[in-house]
Amino acid sequence: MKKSEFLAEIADILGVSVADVSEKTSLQELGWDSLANVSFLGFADEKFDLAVSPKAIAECIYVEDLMGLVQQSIEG
Amino acid sequence: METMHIGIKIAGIASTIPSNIISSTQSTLLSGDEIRKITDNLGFSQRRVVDENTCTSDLCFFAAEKLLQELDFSRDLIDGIIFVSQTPDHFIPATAFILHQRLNLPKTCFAFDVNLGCSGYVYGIWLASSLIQSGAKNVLLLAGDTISKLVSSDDRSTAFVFGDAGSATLISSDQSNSKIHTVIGSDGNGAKSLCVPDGAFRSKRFKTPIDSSDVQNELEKYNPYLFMDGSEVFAFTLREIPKMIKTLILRAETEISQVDGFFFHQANQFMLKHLAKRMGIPGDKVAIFLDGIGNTSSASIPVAITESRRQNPERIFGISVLAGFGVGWSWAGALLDLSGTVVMPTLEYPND
Repeated sequence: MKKSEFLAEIADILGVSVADVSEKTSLQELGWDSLANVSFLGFADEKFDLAVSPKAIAECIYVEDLMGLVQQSIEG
Repeated sequence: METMHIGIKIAGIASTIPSNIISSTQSTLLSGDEIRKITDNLGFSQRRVVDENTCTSDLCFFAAEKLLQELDFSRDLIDGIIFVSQTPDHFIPATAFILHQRLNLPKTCFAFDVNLGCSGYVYGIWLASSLIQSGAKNVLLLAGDTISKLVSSDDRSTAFVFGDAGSATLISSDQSNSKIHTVIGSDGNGAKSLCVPDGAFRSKRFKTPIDSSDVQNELEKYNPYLFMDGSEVFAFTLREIPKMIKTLILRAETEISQVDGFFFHQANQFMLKHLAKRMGIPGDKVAIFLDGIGNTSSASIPVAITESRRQNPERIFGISVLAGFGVGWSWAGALLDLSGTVVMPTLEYPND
């Protein structure tokens, strides 16, 4: 998956414009919540066959931290 | 563990939902947008919830009476009653005895409660099958919950999720060669993720009169409501349930295409659709009956079966997969034939 596709997916999970999402955007600022956690778990499972730990998501502060959880599957 | 029972049939299934309907849009806990997001994920905005005078046992009793009437089944032939629930009438005695008396069952019956939630219905079938294999002929399984009584209206992770329901299933010995395959698993690491922390015996119990400020401090920390970590629940489900279904299908030497219907625990729409997609199960084979009902814990599988009958009276049931998963962590799946089963349409509990 390309980085731009990953950012678009995060925007989709949160229901915000993709223009508002960059690697350095804070998750709190984007309104990341427990529903977003569940959607992200589903996304990682479906697209990358990855079992991401909810505790690891809870430790993420910026979008790039989330990207780090699925890093090996992101190109560029 | 994996098991197989031969010569056992599910004679009949009935379930009862309360007549009271609660709508999530009535809540002032969240904004309209937030409620919309949550209800989109859950797949329902209305739930059936009991009034304060109605217990799980009342819903199960109603279902059992109707089922025995429908089957024209003599209660003298019942060898045992199993009540599966997390919401009993009392700590002591087991609710199975209260139901034994109300249903006027014979003194030769065994009767006990099982404390399980979303996996409980399949566990009940497995238990009943095992007991039939060891000599019983007819076992009445009563599974249900009134989780709404354990939910804090201020907790956004649980306030919109749970409905109430009760069920009755008659499981009997059978001359045929029909098989029930079962896969069961447990992982106690999940115990804290779905839990009512206080109210039983691990926490300090208070005796009246409360006479010191220390006790007052303890009381403030006291939490008798259901706590649910939704992310951990979903992560556990993704980890274990596709594996369980795969094992079940392999053990039964069949294929997904040969299964007529998949009746998963009705947790929420997002989870059910995701599981179906991940396992390659066609959407039309996966029962989703959440709208207007909610997640009814141990009753959700029988309710999905009876709702399927209510919404499609002509439906023919065949080889079915039942899959329960949740509190514990606990999971249980069964592959069985429902073609000879009397499935009643969902019953509504009458208001007093």
